[in-house]
Amino acid sequence: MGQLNSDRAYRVQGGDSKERLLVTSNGNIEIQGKGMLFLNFNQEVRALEFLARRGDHSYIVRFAVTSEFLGFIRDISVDEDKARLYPDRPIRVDTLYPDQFGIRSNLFDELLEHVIPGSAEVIYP
Amino acid sequence: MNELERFQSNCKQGQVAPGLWLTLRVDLGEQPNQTAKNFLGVIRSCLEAIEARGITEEIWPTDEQWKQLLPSWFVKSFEGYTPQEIYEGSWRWDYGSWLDSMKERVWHWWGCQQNNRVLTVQLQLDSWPYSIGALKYLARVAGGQLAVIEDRGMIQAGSVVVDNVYPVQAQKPQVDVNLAI
Repeated sequence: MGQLNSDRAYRVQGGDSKERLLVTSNGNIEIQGKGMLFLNFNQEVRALEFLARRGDHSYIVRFAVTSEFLGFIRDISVDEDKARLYPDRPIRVDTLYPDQFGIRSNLFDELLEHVIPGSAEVIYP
Repeated sequence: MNELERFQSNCKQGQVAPGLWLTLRVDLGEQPNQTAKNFLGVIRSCLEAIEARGITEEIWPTDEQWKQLLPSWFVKSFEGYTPQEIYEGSWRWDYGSWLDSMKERVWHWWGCQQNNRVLTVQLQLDSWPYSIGALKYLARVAGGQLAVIEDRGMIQAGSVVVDNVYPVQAQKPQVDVNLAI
């Protein structure tokens, strides 16, 4: 954290749900599974609001990515109602809020390459 | 109890799902019982195909096979619109994109309750963010409209003070080009 030209990614998971992101002991992330990975960028208040009434086993995974990556995702993402026409691109979801995307597995390596090393952490309610 | 069994028994109606949850309120319109029947009929068809047939992502049915699994009125709702019309901001969905959204869904049916013109649907989520655009489309073509999404508590001074509910943005009215002057 604290680096210029970075943005924060958020995902709430856990409880009875799938834990797609693992935070390693050295503050990096690992992605479990190949399905679409839903992430929010820079909406920490919304993440906290969502988490607020969930059980103790739900938590936020937060990590920093280069701003270059977020810009790339913004540029190539498409609306979900036409996502089939662009099968390799991320989709925009919950468009009442900015920068919420479903990222396909073809971009997982690129995502991991742009994570700021050591930036990942878990936030509990 | 699996998702299909929960749907069929509706034993969880009125209950919030454990873990990550989401509540939808569907305005059922002028013919609420028919709209609810349409809406739930498509959900039933999907869940039966996904769970009762043991379908996984690896053996997901083809688009053509889904046409046999889904109610015909729903399949027809996708017909007659060009990719360009969909691309230009209509509320319409591309058929394949709707199926893909169901394949990649991060929600699971928990229960529902109808009260006159409102169908309240409880979902269990795998994550936030999430996608429910496919359900929004389904509500619209079933004869209603997804009116409210409730998914979070509002934080003030570190504690939850009230449920935070927000309305779904108004959708563009459908324009029949043949009647346009």
